[in-house]
Amino acid sequence: MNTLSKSRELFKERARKALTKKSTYGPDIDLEPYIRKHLESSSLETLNIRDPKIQTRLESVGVDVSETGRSGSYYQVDWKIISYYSRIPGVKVLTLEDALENYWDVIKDYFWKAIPVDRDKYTATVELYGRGGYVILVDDGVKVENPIQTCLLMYTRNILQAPHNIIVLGDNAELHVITGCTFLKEPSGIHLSVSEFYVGKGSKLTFTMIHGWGLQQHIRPRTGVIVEDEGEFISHYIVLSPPGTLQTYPTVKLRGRDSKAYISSVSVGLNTSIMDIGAEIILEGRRSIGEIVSRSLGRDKSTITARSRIVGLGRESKGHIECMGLLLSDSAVIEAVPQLSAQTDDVELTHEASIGRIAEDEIYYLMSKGFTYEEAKSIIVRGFMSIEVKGIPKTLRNMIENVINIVSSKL
Amino acid sequence: MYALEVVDLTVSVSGKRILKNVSLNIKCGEVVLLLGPNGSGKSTLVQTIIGNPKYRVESGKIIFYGEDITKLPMEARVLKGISLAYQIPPKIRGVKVRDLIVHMLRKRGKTKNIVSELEEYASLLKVQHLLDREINVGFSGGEMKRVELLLTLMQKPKLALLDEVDSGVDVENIALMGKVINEHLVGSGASTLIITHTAQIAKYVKADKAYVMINGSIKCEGDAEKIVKTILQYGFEKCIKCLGWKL
Repeated sequence: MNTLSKSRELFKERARKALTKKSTYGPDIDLEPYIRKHLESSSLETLNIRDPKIQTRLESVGVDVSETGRSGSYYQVDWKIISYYSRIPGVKVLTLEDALENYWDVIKDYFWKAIPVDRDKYTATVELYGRGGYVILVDDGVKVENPIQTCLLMYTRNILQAPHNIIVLGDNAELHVITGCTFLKEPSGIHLSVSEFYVGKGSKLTFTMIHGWGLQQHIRPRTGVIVEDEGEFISHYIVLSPPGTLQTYPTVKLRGRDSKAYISSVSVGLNTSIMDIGAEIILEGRRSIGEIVSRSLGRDKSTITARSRIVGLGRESKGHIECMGLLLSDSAVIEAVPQLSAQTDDVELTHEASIGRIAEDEIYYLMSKGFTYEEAKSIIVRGFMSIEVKGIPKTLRNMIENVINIVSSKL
Repeated sequence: MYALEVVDLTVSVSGKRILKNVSLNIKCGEVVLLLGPNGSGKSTLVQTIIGNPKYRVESGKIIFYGEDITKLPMEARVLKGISLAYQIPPKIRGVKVRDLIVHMLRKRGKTKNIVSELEEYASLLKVQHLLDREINVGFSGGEMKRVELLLTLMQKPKLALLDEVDSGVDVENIALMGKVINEHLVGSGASTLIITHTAQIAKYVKADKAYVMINGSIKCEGDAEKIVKTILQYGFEKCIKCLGWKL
């Protein structure tokens, strides 16, 4: 047995033991029916990714269907990999299977290293039943200007999609990744994903993720990030149309000195969706800086829990949490749970949190500038959802603005 | 021709009567001062003129260029050419000053020269550095007033209602705003109602007429210069006593 097989077997062994381990947060989902269906299903229906209806759906989650402004892409529908490529020398875009088989010597240092395989039943299921997932490897000193886009799409009814993604940036590298996840036909099924990101010394990774789901879907992404000296990780997550349930709690470990992380999220709760969206930054390195910003918008009978935690361990480290909620309905619930933990006397941790509804005075003010009540409300909602994410390319910023414009005009 | 006629207006807010039988008029192109101590109802009057739904007209009329607008919704009045610069505007998170102005003007069908006009007025009012900031978030008192005046100028109103443009503003900036009001608002032919309790702006803007509002009623009307002089010399209290007004 080679080292890959041996390692996989050890991971699978741990995963099997964790298959019934519930997640700390979020509603528990019975995975059994999805796994059963997954094992029974043989092949995906024929799917034309160039179908105009599908392309419109992809554009709604920020996908550049022309791919002209992209440095590479990865498409996966259900568990089937449709295409993947990189246009840039020094950057590899692979599937997980491909990477494990051909680049094990590299991957072994990153595979299940940022998240334990037995964290909960969702990570365990990804190891035992998952297929696909993108692996992006960026060599030292390579700075990629245009983003690489990755699309994880769900098509078949009640499908289990469980990819394992890995991004590794060498030293002094730079990469922007935009991920669009949505359903193409049936808004049902479960999306579990494991994402492990490694940001080398002096490197910068920006990760923009846009989700558009349906109420019969359950989403459990698991993300772990490790950042080395002077590295920087910027993440912006937008949930435009919510699933039935969603729970995520990415953990960023700022291991290196002078490393930085900025994590922002905008979530729109509609209907009866339940979302538990968190983030954690561990300030391990000296002078590391972390910031978590969240905007939760609750309509109808939706529930959003916005968790955020910053742990200060490294000397002279700094962290800040800003979580804001806007209620657009009497029946919606927003809960903000900011948490700060200082474990040395030399850290500076702060937070601000607020939840409220739209102030009438703001609406009347905008009406006094010539807008109707509805227009004024829409301007305020749009403003609330706009987070100025510094450090991401202008094209992505424009794309995010367009997406937010469309969503806010419908609220 | 009157730009604005307020006729016997009685207004309440949350069931409490604030204005009682207020009458006031502004001729086309006239600059009128509305003076009065804090809490006398001046802001209520301008909020009612612009049509803020919080302010309920119990009786009386508001006539704009001969048309009764008392029952028109707020945005319709604005589109007819009334503009209000707020005394204390709210913060609007995530909305940049520049974007609001562009949106506001496009809604009126204006698409040309927006950028050049905006840059010009912003430069005159020394607010270029605020154009890409969120509305009123972290602005000083003076910055808020200057941005409100910028919004008014960009609207090119027929009637500008300026609520306490001079309160909480340093002398240099009152002079600056006075100059801009003279040259670009009054100079463009707009009729202007300036609310002030300190009357500082009157040093820089020549008004044709003044009203004094006390306790929700107009108590005095006449030559702006004389009224301002009296108030600056004696204050409202003494004026009230001198004229035998009863609060």
